[in-house]
Amino acid sequence: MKHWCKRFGLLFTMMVIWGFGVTFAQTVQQRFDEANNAALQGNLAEAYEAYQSLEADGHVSGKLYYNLGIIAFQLDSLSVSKLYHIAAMRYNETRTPAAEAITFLDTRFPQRVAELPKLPWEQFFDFLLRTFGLNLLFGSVIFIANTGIILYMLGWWIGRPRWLRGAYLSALLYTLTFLSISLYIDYKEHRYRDGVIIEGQYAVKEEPNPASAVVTQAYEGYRFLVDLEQSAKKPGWLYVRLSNGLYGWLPQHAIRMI
Amino acid sequence: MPKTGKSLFLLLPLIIGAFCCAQTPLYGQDIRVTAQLNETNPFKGERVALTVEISGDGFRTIELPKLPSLTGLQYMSTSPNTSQSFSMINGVTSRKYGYTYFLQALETGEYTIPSIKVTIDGKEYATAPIKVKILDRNSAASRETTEAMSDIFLRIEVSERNPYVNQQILANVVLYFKQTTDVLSYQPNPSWKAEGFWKEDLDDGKEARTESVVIDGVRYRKATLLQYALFPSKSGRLTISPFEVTFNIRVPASGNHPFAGWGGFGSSQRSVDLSSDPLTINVRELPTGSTGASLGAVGQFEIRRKVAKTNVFVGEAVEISTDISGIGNIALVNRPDYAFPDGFEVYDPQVQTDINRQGTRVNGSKLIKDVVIPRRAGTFTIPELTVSWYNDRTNSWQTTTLAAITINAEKDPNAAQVTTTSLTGSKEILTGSANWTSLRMRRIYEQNPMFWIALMSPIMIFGMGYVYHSYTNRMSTDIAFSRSKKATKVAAQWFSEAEKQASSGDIKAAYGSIHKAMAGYIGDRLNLPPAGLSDDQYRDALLEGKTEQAVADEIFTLLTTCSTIRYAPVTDQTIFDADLKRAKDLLQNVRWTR
Repeated sequence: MKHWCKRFGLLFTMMVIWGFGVTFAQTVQQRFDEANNAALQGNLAEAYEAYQSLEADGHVSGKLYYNLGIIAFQLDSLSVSKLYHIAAMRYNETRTPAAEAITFLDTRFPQRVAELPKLPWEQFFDFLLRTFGLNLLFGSVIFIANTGIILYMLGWWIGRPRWLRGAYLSALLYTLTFLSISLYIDYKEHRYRDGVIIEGQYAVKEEPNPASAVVTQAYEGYRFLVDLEQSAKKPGWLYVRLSNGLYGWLPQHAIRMI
Repeated sequence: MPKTGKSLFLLLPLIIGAFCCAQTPLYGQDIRVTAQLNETNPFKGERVALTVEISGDGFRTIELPKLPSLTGLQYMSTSPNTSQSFSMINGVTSRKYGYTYFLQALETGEYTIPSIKVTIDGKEYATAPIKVKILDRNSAASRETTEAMSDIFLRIEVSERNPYVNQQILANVVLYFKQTTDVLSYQPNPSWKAEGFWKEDLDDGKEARTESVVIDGVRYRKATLLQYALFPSKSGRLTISPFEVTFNIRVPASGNHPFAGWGGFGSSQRSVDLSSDPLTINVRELPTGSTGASLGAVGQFEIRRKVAKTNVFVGEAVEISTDISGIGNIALVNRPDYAFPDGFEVYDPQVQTDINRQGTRVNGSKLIKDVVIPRRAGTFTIPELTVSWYNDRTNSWQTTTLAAITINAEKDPNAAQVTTTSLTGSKEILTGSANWTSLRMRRIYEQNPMFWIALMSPIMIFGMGYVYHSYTNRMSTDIAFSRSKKATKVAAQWFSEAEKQASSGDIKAAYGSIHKAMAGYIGDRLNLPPAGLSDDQYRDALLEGKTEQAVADEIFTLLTTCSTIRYAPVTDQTIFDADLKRAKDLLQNVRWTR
């Protein structure tokens, strides 16, 4: 009897958790569907508000950001639209259409900045992040590490044939490599944020000081990589990297980050 | 644009012939009458030439100029030297008559040569008065000073040493040279940068003219070569960097040259590079007190805002023009920041700046066209806005209030429905199920304790595996350890066997099994030989193992009972059960120290 009670309790708990998960997903998806319907019926302001409310509640997806970008193009501004499309590029499901939208938007800005291609290893890290995600990367590292340990221990009983040595050494190599990569990506993701100048033009300064020398002028729609770690040292200023490789400081209010 | 290669050939008649300075034309039809003094700052006792020049065409008779009476100067002769010339340019003829009188400066002081009247074809013309300052040669600077002064030097002279940020100052590039030096041409260095200033080249449309000045008792000719409008871009001490000009000059031969003083014989022509001294000015911040949105403008401005249409269809572009015109830093004036209502798509403004650089103050206009598109029907209001600029003439802030603009947008019944597709380059919103995630604000190892558990799992698995491996390894190699670990299990097997034997009625065999269980257990735990030991030896081994005396004695008694009961005639099941329980309890209570 006691045994059955235990089993039933576990099953009940799992069902409750699953039920909450399903309900949560349905609620968020329902809100998203309602916003989509409003957008399709031409109630763009209503749809925009609903999308933003989802984002404010912490529920995000590629489609949400992409649709926000589309509506922002019509109701808000080119630069806000670009910002949302940049966020949509982080998701596999919307990366391609978001990239196309950004290309289209960039043609509408009066000033554009040259863009340096990403370095090969940065592209590789981006590929890993966008394709597998950080959780899966960490999970695979843990799984492979455990597998390697078990294979190593197997050698205590069955000896260490070549295949076994190769297997656990490969697992060790994979673990060390991908643990480092995962930690680096995680660090990078939290140190840097994307940002866009929403309106006006600003001088990018050499130092976080209004009287400092000007590195370059930045205009509406310019995209930046904001270094949060450096920026935290100078309140009111952001340390940024332009897509053309220049570095400098901008007033905090100049940029909207996502 | 800086002037390059500008020739001073037109200056030569003035310099060499010494006819310059005051010159005021009078026009009568196409007749011009001017009076010129070759030196307006003569020394006392010095002779100067006064020339009355009549130029034009279509006149027949000219009477001699009527000389006015003079103060501080006197005529050396009332009979003039006359000259005349004739020219034809593009079929237009022109005649020029000159009457030159020589005057002598009598007394130091400032005087005025009154108007000189000339009657031409019966009509009287008059020249403008000329101011003269007669200097005392003896009160001039010492000889050492005059010798130390250079024959030719360059200066930048500014109209204001303490301007406000964005206020225009006039910077003149001025050349000073002595009478004995002829300047043939000059070439400014085009790389001059006025760092810290917005710079505009000015062009007054006139050729450079010289005038006479006395510096530290030395008479120089002064010519303004170039003019710039400078707008300081920040406050503080700003330095105008040196301006460099290359001059082609002719200087007279030294005094011992055999032909010195004979119409330029022996003079030499050469090129000199001159540079002005750096000039520091102190730029002030604009005073506080602006009551409107500052445009960063300093000068005198007019600002107007208008909208092309106020009734439009949804999706139709509306152009809002802001016209800023006036004198000052027109190129640097900021665009007013309008608060466009929600529902407007705002495009980047088009800015058209028209700057006039003629004269000494930059003026012009800036036309800013904001293009907005209403994206939904309704009435929208762009609120009024008060903008301000600083008037550097009245030294006060001035404001203009731009009236609010109301725009009515309605749906165009004939237009196709505005869809997302038509506006975004064939992009449509995405529907259907989405992969939802949470906004991850924390690091992966901060947000989930399972991360650390998972990260530690390989170490835990390794630890457990190692312990198990060590155990099995010892079990296979250490017989004593293996026997000790298996002792309980073996004893239990013998006890079970004893129970079976007892239940089948073979009590004697069952006691034998109890004996084997106990002796085997003690032997395994204490690593004694598996066979051949007496019960006494088991008891001694227990005592050596620091088992309590009473327990060891009791075990010994039970072992003896098991050994001897095989020879007993009758055995009782009840006694056997008690002995079996006792045996099990005893083995559990033994303290094993090995």
